[in-house]
Amino acid sequence: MVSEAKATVAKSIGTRATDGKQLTRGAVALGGLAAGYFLVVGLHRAGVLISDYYLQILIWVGINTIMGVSLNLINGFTGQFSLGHAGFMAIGAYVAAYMTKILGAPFAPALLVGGTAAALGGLVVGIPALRLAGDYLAIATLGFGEIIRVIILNLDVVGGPRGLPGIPAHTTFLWVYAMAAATVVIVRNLIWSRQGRALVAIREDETAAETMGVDTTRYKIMAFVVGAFFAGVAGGLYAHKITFIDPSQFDFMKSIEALVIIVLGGLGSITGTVLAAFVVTFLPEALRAFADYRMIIYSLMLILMMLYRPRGLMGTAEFGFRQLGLGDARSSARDVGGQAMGRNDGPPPVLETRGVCMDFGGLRAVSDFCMTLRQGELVGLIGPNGAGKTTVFNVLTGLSEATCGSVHFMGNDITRKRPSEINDMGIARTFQNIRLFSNLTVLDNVRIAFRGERPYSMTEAVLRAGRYSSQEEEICRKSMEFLRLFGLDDRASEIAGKLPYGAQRRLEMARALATGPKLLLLDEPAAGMNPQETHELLELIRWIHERFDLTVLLIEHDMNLVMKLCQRIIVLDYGNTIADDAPADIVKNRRVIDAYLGEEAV
Amino acid sequence: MLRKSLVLVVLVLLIMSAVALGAEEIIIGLVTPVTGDVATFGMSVRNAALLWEKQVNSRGGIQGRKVKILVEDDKGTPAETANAVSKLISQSKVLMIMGPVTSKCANAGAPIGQANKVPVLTPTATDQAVTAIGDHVFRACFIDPFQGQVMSKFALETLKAKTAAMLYDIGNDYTKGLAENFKKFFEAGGGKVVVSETYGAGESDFSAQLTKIKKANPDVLWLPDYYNTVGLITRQARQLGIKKAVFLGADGWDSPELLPIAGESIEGGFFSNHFFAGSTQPAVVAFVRDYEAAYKSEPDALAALTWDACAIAESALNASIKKVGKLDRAALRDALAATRDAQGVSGKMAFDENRNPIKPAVILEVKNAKFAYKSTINP
Amino acid sequence: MPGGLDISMVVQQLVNGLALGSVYALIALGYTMVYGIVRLINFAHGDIFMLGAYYGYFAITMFKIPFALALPLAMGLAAVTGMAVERLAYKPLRQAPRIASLITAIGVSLLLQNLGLKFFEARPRPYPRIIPMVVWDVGGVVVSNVQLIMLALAIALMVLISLIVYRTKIGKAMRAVSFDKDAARLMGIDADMVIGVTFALGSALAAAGGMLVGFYYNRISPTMGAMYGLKAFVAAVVGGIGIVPGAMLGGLIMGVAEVFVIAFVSSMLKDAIAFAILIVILLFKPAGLLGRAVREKV
Repeated sequence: MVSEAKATVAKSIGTRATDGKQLTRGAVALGGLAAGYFLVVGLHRAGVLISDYYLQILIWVGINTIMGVSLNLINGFTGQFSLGHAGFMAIGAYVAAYMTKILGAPFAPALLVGGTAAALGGLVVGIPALRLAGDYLAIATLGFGEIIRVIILNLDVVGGPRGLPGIPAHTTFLWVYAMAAATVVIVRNLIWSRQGRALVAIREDETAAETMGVDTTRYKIMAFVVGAFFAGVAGGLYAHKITFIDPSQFDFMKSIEALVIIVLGGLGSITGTVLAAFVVTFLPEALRAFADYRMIIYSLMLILMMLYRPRGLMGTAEFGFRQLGLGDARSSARDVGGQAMGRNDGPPPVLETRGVCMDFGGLRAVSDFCMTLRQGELVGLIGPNGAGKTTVFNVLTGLSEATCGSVHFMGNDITRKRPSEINDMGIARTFQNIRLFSNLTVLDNVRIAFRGERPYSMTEAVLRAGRYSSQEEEICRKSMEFLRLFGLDDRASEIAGKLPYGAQRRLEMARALATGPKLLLLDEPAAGMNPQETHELLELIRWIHERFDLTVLLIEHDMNLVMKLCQRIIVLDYGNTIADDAPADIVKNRRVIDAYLGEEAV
Repeated sequence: MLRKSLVLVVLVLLIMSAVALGAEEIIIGLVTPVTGDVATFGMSVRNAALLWEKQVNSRGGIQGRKVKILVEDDKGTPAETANAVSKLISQSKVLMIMGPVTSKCANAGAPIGQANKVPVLTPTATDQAVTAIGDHVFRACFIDPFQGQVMSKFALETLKAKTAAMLYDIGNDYTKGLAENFKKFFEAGGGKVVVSETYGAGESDFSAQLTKIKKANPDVLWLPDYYNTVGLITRQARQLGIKKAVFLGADGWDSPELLPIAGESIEGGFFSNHFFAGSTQPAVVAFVRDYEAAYKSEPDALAALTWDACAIAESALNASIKKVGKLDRAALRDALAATRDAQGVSGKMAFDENRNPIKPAVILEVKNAKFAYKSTINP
Repeated sequence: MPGGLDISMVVQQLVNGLALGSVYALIALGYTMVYGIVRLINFAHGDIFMLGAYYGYFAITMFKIPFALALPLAMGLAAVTGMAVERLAYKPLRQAPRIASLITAIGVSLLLQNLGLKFFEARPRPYPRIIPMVVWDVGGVVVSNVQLIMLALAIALMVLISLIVYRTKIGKAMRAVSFDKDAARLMGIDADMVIGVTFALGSALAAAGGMLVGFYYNRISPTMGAMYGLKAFVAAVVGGIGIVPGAMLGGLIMGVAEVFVIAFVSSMLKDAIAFAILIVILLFKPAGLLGRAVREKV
């Protein structure tokens, strides 16, 4: 997903050229796939190199590829630690085998139904994923996998522990090859789309993603459902190749095997996954000559590979068209001369909080907070450390739920809304301790935040059809525009976390603006800046305030900045509002001076 | 030019005659787990098969042909089994496959043999479905219903049992098959299975299940698992105060490891088996003696069954080579199907129409920390 | 169930469950201590447990060392093994993504298990008898001296480890490193040493668990680590991974829950129900029973 902005910014690529390349890419992909298939089948027919034995191993490679790529979607791209992938595979295998063997259904619908049943399983597992994270989620998914296995163990209709023998051997190399290719293409297309960026944003920083308008619930479940579907298809293919399935084939170690594949390949790398599927499948076979020592050597090699390539064989890098000189122009940035656009329509919006309070345990962080922001105002929120300023921001953006009181935005009650919904309605924010998606590029940080009016669907993303192309180009163009406004366009392809501090602050503001807000909340934007940078920031905030017709609420300790910038200042102390006035009056306010006494020279 | 051609022709003739004189080796693929959870079973199978290879070659081979066994590990998993079988057939071009050892591996591996018309002879896979895969699949062991029937009959008639309890591994096809068949025949014969409990693979605490069984107070307790688990169960059962119930089991009990693990708790238990190691029959005496000499331990049931399978293979190879004069898979299959009077440790063996062996079972008793012969039951 | 509930059976099952749970707890402690300090699910821990059982076995059978001495000896050897594994396989990856060490841990687990299969032989071995078993029947509840010794030893070790973690200097250093490795370093704590000690303590406990399993159940095998390891790991998570008392609680709950599901629900569905309970517990307590959900600072 690394964009090569610098190289391409200079030379504008015409739409026609893009289409030409797109066609070429499609042709190269199809041609390559077909050539690979006919090479393998030709060699097998001719009896050269590829015997039945090797063809069979290649089939396992294909199935492991599907398992790996689908798990990578959940684990590598979305960052949800799943240890239950074998459970999905089991559902797919059993449902498909039941359809063909017992109901006599044809293979293709059986695979589809198997995949769909597994996807339903993914839906069920996605639900704990909403509450659990990290290793706790891993345990819940592990438990799910085991539960599936025990249930099958007790299902006599599919043979229980004795398993289901005599499944028709429908799986051919062509089937596996085609399905593996389809999985790779679909997951790749999904990842390089707006949906994919949302998934990656969840992995990078769930809270920031949510405040940038990513509906994390929906996307997490989507990752589980799509991942489970393909695991189910892999299960169906497996069952119709091995012709005998029993619950022990889908135990915990099978999930571990899929995990090993994606970590060895590189979490978040699809080509790495394919490579690792080859390694993990072939290695034990290649070591057969060592007889009893085979597994000892296998595990030693696994350890050594991880020690020498801790980020996997491919890291997060991909081998793809770019290395072949066929890069996708849409995934890189291009120079644009268009007008910047914000969402600036609608009646004068007003933010109003009514008696908001917030308790943490016994501690009241904010009490009876009442505030009204009028359209176009630039308001400062100040107060000593621990006064509850950030807590107010968290309540306004839905990250914390107010203990009492209510928040109204443009006439709607948003008190109990999720952060992503609030962001959708037009409130964006930055964070005190910058929360960029720091492993992603500068451009991607902004692109994640962008949403069109009628964003393209997942199907369009996967098929690269419909509104996909035009919207992606639009998103890319507008994102570059934002970067240019913030002086970041020549750094579009850099990794966000590696930017200098000031640039990170600006990027965070660019990202917040990209969500198209009407109200922008800035949490200490000048923190850590030198006077020169602070001055530039002042100009920048003034400028965006005007340019995007924004209402701005600003938390800041730099009094100089606040005084110069804000039309009105609200002062918080120990959770109470002690003043709400024009800057000139604030400096004379006795209570404010008391509150700040010894803290800052006002 | 002419001279060169002549030399070439002579050379070719020489090589051809050398091949004819040396007679093609009989290559048999052995698919058995030498790594993984059930490696302990796979080792016994490999030991017995390699012992036979050595002995048969020292006897001069079969019809003058040396036997070569290629061992491939199946790790006890179906997918690895499929690879091992496929490799032996398409890379090593074996004449026949011996194995796989467990039923689930046989269910995954045997179809490949069947599809390639390579005879598959499993020494130990008891699941009925295995030989139903096709006419190229044979086995040397009892099928699940047979031992279930033998032991339920023994319980009803000899022990006069009225009630039985069962405790078996829910995740293991062998023990589940035996449990179901015992129940079927025991209840058909007028007995009642009062409580049936299960556990999972690798577990070692059965106190909860046994506490329930103790409450039901059955006449016999059917424990159709392998020795390594049975020994644990009987100890815990006696410890929890199950005194009345007689322990019953099947060929999985047969191992020199059973008694050290179970200790005195298993005294008075009965199990069905293929042979009695203390028998005075010459075939048994020779096998036990040679096996102990080679491996420093007594043969268990898996080794004995492999020995039987080798005996069947030897007689069929003999017959097929005699008949067609060369190594031929189709002829070997027919000869296997026609097996009569193959002499193994179980006695004389033949195949029925489903390619399952017709052979007697013996019932052994654990008495004074030894296995003692109780009776023989003919099919 | 037939016959209704009967008190002696409930008590009997409770005794059974506590005996089983105490072993889970011993193993879970190692998981939790290691996790607490390096945030690594040490999959190889179950296999260290297996090694511990074999160390004890060989000490008793080949070198004729009495149990009372073999136990600390096996614990010491396992501690050295654990430290060696940490040094060779995990330490080089301390700066790498967490998941890389996880896969290495899986590799180490496979390695130890396969080494065991090769060098200890695949066959299960009967554990040497140390003391004759005595069984008491107290009002229908059967308790054996072996059970009591196991329970007592497990509890003693748990008390000992709690004392080490909460009452000694090294324990304080462990807690400091667990809380913030860099800050601890700044305070002059040798973090690498502390991590090594943590692995050593955890491994020693696992070895004790292994020997107790051998002693109580009388059977050890090279693959015994997988099942116990998995259950203990789950127990550690349920208790709140990284929290020492949590591992003990989780282990005991795991043991008792398993036994009660068998006794009063169904042994066929045991694992399914046990896991379902765990998932439900986690849904209500997302950081485990004794874990506190950490509020993310925004």
